[in-house]
Amino acid sequence: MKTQTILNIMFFLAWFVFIALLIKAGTILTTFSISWFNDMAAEKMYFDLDLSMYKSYSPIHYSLIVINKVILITAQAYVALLMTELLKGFNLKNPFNHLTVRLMEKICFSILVIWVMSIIHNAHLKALEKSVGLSAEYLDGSYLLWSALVYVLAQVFKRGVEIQTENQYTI
Amino acid sequence: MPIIINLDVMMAKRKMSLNELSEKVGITLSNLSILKTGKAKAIRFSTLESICEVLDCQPGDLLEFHNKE
Repeated sequence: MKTQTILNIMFFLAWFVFIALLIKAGTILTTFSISWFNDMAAEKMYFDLDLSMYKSYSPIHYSLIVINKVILITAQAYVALLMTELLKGFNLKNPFNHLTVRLMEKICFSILVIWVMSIIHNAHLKALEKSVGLSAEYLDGSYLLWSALVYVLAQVFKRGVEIQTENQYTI
Repeated sequence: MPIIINLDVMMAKRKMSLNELSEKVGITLSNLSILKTGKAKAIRFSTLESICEVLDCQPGDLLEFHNKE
């Protein structure tokens, strides 16, 4: 009963995170469009996100950074959406099923994509910092660890499905 | 699976229907059907014992090993 309540709370939290990330991506895209007409918009892309120095240095680099950020946030939102699907279909009486395993594998690969995108993003910022001296705010690089963790859990669940099926077919 | 269950053969020898066997052994028709069609992954000794008792046979009469090679 307690676990089910926690899962329900997590389901709503995942929905909240999904919507919040979509709003964030949408806001960045909107301010990015506005920034072409109004330079002030690049100073406050989203709360404290200030990309005006990149815009004044090179519009191409600025666009690349914004596009990378938007893709990253969208991928994070996709992971949150997969989490909602996982929690919605999670049944404590019969937890090991193929849907859960498939969703966990999808989450694992999505986090892997986020990790690759964050590496590209960080490398881009590092190169700019080195060549032009623009101070950069790097993204967290621990996504690989999370991806590996989810992958291990997916494999455990896969074995769980096999054991459960074997148990069902034991007469 | 190389293990074959000859439940239908023994049932035919004893002229017993699936319904009758299900009632006498005390397992559901669907489980008996899984056993008969060879979908079962394992069989409990208690189930085997009950079936052998009802069909008056040995476990060897019900189970057969067929090597694919």
